[in-house]
Amino acid sequence: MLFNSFIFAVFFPIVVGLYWILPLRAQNLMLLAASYVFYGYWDWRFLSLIAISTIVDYFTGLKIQAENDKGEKASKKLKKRWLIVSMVTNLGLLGFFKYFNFFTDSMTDLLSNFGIQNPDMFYLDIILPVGISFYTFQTMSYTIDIYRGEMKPTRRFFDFALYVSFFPQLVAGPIERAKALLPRILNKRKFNKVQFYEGVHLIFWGLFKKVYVADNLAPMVDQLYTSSDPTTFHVMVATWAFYVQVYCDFSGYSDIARGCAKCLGIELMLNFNFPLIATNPSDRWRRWHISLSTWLRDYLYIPLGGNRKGSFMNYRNLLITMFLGGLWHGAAYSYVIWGVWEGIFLIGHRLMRPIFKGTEFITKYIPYRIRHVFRVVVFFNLVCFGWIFFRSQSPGQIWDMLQTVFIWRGSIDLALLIPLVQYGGPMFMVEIIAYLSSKENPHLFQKIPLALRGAVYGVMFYLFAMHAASAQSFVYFQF
Amino acid sequence: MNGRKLTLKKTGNYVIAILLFCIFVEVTARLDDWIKHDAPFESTYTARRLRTWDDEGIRVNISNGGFEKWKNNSHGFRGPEIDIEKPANITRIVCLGASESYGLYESPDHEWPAQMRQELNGDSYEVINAATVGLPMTQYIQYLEKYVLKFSPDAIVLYIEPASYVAARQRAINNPEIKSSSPTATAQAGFSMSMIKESFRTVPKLQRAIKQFLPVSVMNEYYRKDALKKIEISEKRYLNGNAPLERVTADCLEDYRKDLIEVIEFLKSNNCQALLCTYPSLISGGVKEKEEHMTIFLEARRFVVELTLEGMSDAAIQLNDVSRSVAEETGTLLIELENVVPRDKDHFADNVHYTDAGAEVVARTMAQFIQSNF
Repeated sequence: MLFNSFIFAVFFPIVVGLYWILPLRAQNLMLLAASYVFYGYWDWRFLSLIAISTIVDYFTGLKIQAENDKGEKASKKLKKRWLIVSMVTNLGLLGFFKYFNFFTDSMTDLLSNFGIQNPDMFYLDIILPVGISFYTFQTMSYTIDIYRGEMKPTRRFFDFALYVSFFPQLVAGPIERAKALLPRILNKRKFNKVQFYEGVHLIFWGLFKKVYVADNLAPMVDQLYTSSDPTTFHVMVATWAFYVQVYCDFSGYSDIARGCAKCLGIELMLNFNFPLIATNPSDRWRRWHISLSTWLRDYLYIPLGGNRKGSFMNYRNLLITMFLGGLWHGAAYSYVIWGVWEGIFLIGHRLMRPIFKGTEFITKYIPYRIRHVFRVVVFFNLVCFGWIFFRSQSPGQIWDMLQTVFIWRGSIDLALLIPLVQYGGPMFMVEIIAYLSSKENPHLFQKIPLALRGAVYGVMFYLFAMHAASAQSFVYFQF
Repeated sequence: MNGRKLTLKKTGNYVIAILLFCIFVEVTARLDDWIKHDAPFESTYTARRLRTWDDEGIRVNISNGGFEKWKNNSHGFRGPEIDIEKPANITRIVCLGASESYGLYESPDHEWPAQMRQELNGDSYEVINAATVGLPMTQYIQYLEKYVLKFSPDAIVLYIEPASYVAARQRAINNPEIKSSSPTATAQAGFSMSMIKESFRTVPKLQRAIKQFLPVSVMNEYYRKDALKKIEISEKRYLNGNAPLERVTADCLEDYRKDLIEVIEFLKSNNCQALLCTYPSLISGGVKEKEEHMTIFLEARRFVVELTLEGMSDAAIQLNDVSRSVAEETGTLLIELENVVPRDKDHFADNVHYTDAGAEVVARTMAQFIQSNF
């Protein structure tokens, strides 16, 4: 079920209405059923994967805790075995459904280099279950946290099942940690008018970003990226537009997810914190897809050694983390190359830090705000450079695009910027005002007077309702 | 501040917020129209900016009129500017008809005369789209005399909608007190707007947005019920106790024949070649066989309530036959279109209006015919 569909517009108010008249236990059961309906509406067969993930992690969580409870007598081996069961199940599902054909294709290519020609030998017609990357990561964090002794498992099976399948964030995150979300599911929620308003606002704002900005920019990006002979300016505009599109698509989804959860009295984590104004790679990953970057940090980068074992190991860990982060996004070389690029970018930034510090004796004479804006603009374009890897369909297209970027071709056609300004402009304006008024939390709207809010909502509503492109699924669903 | 005052203040704030919300939606709608279509900000902006009736009661387009995607040139024709003086070595073809020719659902420059212009490639042909939404066949001669013949056309394509002709004639018989009432294909596409819609730009836009958002099945049901309701109202208003026609009467066919011959003879007397064409429509393929098009048929019928659905189908078939016989009788060139356009939703946006693809088929057929005859 898409958030931007008619069926969801019917489904959600019914769920909210029912939810607030039911007692806690019934609330959770109803939400669980609603979540399965939400997911099953797309393809009910894949509910079985969520159920497998839920059952395995529920029981492995309990088994690991049983060992934890033994204290000194706990068998580390046994604990590890249960953890491995969970990992193998989740990563197995993910690997089979998401990466099987990618790896077998790569294998076939490799074999063909040795003269073994049988291209369809390993190919299976596999449908990628929507949201599998999100819910498998979410359930894995539950078992790992129990293994680490950072939390205790729940014995309430249906509540745990709700944690795994909670519909607002089931298919595209935020990837919630069990220690944060599970208590909110287990504890009683009270209807809070302010929270409900915030929820409605976030849904509205998310839909605006998705329907008005992202969906209207999508055809422009598609057209520019399929152009047979693009100019350099063409590629630049297409990539700027793609950055704005993917940001509004994904953060729009996260906003709607958080908004829906708020309407149900449940808080979800902030997934995007003004990433477009990041000034360096580390800053960016603290602002962009926060739930994934923190997940990778806590369950991959730090266990690999983080920055504790010297610079070389630190860089290696960064590269591995970002490589796997890229692969998480999709089974294609473009994502892998993008991940590696992001890793190199992070490493490059760390290596360049002393040089930047060395130039401070000059830059300190430039007012801070000007420096900051300059850094934002430069970094925005550097991030866009990375998006070329991400958006391109093949390594060949990446190569063509890079050539076009580095060897100036054609002229500047300012008309290409019109859709970007038309669709991205209002979003940028609101985000800039929000950022200037609250650097940590994009909740501008509660702070401005009610009358002014009415006016702004009026403009947004018009743009959203009248310029809505036909409902398109969210970009991040494919991940 | 006591509790009551506080509540009043709060309520007041909400009322102001809601008012500002509505005002800003409307202001943004007007700004949007102004930016996109150069529409006036303060006055009403409707399809009435495109056409009117002249002092003799003839349906005409307004020169330089524009509304959303539709734009008229300085002569009131849809399409590029043209000189009255015909350029040398050019065959000037004028397309005459109603909304199907003026263009309704097609994207700009995809109405069939525009696509025909592109097909003919403009070198030795000039295509003028002189169609006017709602122009009845009974006004053709006056319209040609007053607005078209000054362009010295070599040929005029006559694209006549049968059901509207039959219904208009029957309406005049049923209601002798009504001087002239021409139910047209125009209105079938919802060109008429209520007063409220005209005052607030947001209302029709919002209606359109909702229609796009709702599932097709829901909308179909809505259109079906809406059409049935409107048919009932129109039947009460226009049938005057008479039953709608199941079949076109012989008198009607004879009138159509006479009217058609009159137009052709008029053109001949003005050294202009008439190009007659048979009329394609969804309903000419039959009513019962096409249950999936029933909503479309009902929507079309609400403008021609003097005919039943079978009557509409019969009118389409019979009047096309009359056109064929008239063409033969008068030695007029006839373009066969009736069975050329596939009767499906890819080609028809409603019973008689085209999609881009449908208009393309018509344009291509006409262009080929013209190239081989002129």
